[in-house]
Amino acid sequence: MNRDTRPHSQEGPDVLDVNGLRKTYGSAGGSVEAVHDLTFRLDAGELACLVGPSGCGKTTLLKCVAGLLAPTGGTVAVDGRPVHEPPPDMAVVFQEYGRSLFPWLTVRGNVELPLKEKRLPRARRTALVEEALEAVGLAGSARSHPWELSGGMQQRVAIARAIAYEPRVLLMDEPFAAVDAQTRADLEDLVRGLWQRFEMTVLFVTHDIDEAVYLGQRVLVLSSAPTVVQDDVEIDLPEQRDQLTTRSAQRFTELRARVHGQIQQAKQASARE
Amino acid sequence: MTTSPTRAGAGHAPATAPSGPQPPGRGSASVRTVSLGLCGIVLFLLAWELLPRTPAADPQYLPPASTVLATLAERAATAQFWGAVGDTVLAWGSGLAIAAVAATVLGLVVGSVPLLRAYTASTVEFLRPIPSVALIPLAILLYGTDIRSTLLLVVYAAFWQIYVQVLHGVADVDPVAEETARSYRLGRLARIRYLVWPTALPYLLTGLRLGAAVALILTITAQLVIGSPGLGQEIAVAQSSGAPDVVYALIVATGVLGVLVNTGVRAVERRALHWHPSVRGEVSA
Repeated sequence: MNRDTRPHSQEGPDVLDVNGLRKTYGSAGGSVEAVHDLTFRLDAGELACLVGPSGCGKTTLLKCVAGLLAPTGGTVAVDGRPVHEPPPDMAVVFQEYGRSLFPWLTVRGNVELPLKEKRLPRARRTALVEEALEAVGLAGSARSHPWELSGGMQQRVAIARAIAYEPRVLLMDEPFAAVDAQTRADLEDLVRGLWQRFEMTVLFVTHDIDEAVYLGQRVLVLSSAPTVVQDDVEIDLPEQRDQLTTRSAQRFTELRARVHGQIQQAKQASARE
Repeated sequence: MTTSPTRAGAGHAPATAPSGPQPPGRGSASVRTVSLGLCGIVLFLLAWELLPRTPAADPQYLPPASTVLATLAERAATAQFWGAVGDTVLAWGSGLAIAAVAATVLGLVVGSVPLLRAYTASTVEFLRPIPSVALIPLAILLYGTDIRSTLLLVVYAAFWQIYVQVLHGVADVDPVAEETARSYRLGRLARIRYLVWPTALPYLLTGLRLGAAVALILTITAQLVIGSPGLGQEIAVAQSSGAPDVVYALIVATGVLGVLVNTGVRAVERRALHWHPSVRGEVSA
């Protein structure tokens, strides 16, 4: 494990610090350990992807980081402040966009709601909503309802809602697992574009190795049962990425093979237990 | 009654329907539904008109439709009739309103606190099936023939219909939507206003529609049995003065009132739930 000796890809303080995180679900029939002992840090402005075999506790980890679930042990800190409830400078994009958006609100209403709760003045809200919708390419759909849009467009609305919130940390929980391949490629490029434009720290959870390598500056590989950070791969691909050339580059294939190998190893390790 | 908030789709166009060309046949289909409905009414009236003229029915106790409708028209010209309608609508409306407000507030509170819900569940299951008419003697003891007697019965009957629906509605809040709201730091009140309330609204309106029908039944019952003023009391008077055509005319009037009430609540549903799958219909992707 090289997580602590890894050279920082960008200068800046840790914006997200997960230390010794453990989560056990208790039930009448005994307890299930979802996350064993997780430690990792993200620098300000970093885009890191988290991959792991299915059932390795990715969603549990994300909910603990988001302050939606209390960990059994360990700590999560954003900007040095410990997380006990959803922190004010963090936004989450869920996989189930259809259930995460409110069907009774328009696209604009959905994006604006968290800003109202932040008590931002109307003019500021309008500016943020318009900027966010323009950034995801939905400036013309502000008055539609989410259910009038396609799946990919709905996830764009959810992303716009997160962007307008002006988070320092953006968490994405397998956000493109439910959209078709072409839409998925477009949305991946959108996420990279938004990350560069809005200078957020992004933690992107996915089960798709290609997606993780294509998107991230770093890929954290989780092992399953017990869940620990098995490997921390720096993705030294050029900053400007392109679905065609990046994915066919020699280096992309090598990195992909390395992450793939780590995941296979993680699976075998858990099978031996 | 655990009716889910889905309505058998009438042929109405949703409020948010795109203004482009209508899919072929849809407009004519709704016209056909309406005309079929009208045909049914005409056939029913025809049967009612003819039956008393056959040996199967005694015209003294089943006057033909024309006689009844003529009596109704006659009655509708009197202030007494409209006074009775006013009393009935007042008792029904205020009873329903009290029940709706109480059931909504209590339902939202109890539904949002699992412990409270668990504590009250068995009591609710005991109180809910008590037929409201069983409270008539109690109502008379308490309030005599005052409108409050009617209100007691109406509120009791309508309350449970709405309350149980609101409880179901609050329990139907989507966990992902709930997590979204929490992650954007919506406080408890904001979550009730922007998440729980809209989720429960379809259930509330279904409860309101069921409650409105029950409330009308109990209003008429109370007026008939207790003798508080209204259409029910008028029916009782017509009966004791041996005027079956008036009895029928007033019964028809209560039926018309019921139809109007139902149509009204449905119109409210269509407006308030334009986003709901049951109303938005084919617009959804």
